[in-house]
Amino acid sequence: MSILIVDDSATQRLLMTSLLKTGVQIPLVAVDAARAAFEHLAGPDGGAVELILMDISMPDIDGIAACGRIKATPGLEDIPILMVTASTEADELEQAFAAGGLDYITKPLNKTELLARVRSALRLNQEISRRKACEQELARLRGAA
Amino acid sequence: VLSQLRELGVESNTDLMGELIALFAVETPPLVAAIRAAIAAGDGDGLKRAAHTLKGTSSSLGAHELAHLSAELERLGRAGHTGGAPALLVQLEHEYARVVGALEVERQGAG
Repeated sequence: MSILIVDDSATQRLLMTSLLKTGVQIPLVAVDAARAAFEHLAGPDGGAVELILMDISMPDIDGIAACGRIKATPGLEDIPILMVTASTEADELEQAFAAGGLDYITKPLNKTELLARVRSALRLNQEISRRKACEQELARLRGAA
Repeated sequence: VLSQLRELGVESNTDLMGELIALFAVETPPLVAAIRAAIAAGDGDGLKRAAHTLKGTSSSLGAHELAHLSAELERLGRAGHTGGAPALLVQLEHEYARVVGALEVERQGAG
């Protein structure tokens, strides 16, 4: 499994991957646009992505639209998405949550905040996966009974 | 200028610091050019977008005054009022030149 970072700024991608490497032991994949993220997620098992860090302000397809599209894609809807933004505009954040964003991280990045939110989102995702596996097992047992 | 990076644990004279400075030098000139062009064309959306990206990149490095001026231009672009922007652009270009100079000194120190 991996964390997918989507940001059009190479500076931000480098900074984010460098900070994450200091605190989480999970492969990181960084892409420069929403379209590249869609391509990666179209791979086997949703690109094996456990968490997405999505910049909001990007040319072509912005992070809010990309988040909405991912959440509307069967098989990808449970991947938690943390929105990353240099803005604290209430409207923008509201749209990000409405599109399915789990939480947001503001730029400039704060290492403690970034790692805490990422670990929290990963834990949540693992809990969701565990719960789904239990439900599937329960359904299987009921079917067998 | 690099206070933010040092707070994040990115030390001077490291490959990472050098890479970040090099990326800043590549990524930001087109943003400043886009801000200039958007103001000349009265393009509020273009101004908002380019200024927003410059704000994010400069604040990440700790170039706070440059980030502040970018935020002001972004605000004007968002409101569609590019009329007051030329005066801010002069300040931004002055500050941008100062930041580039400071980063160059840092880069040479690292080299």
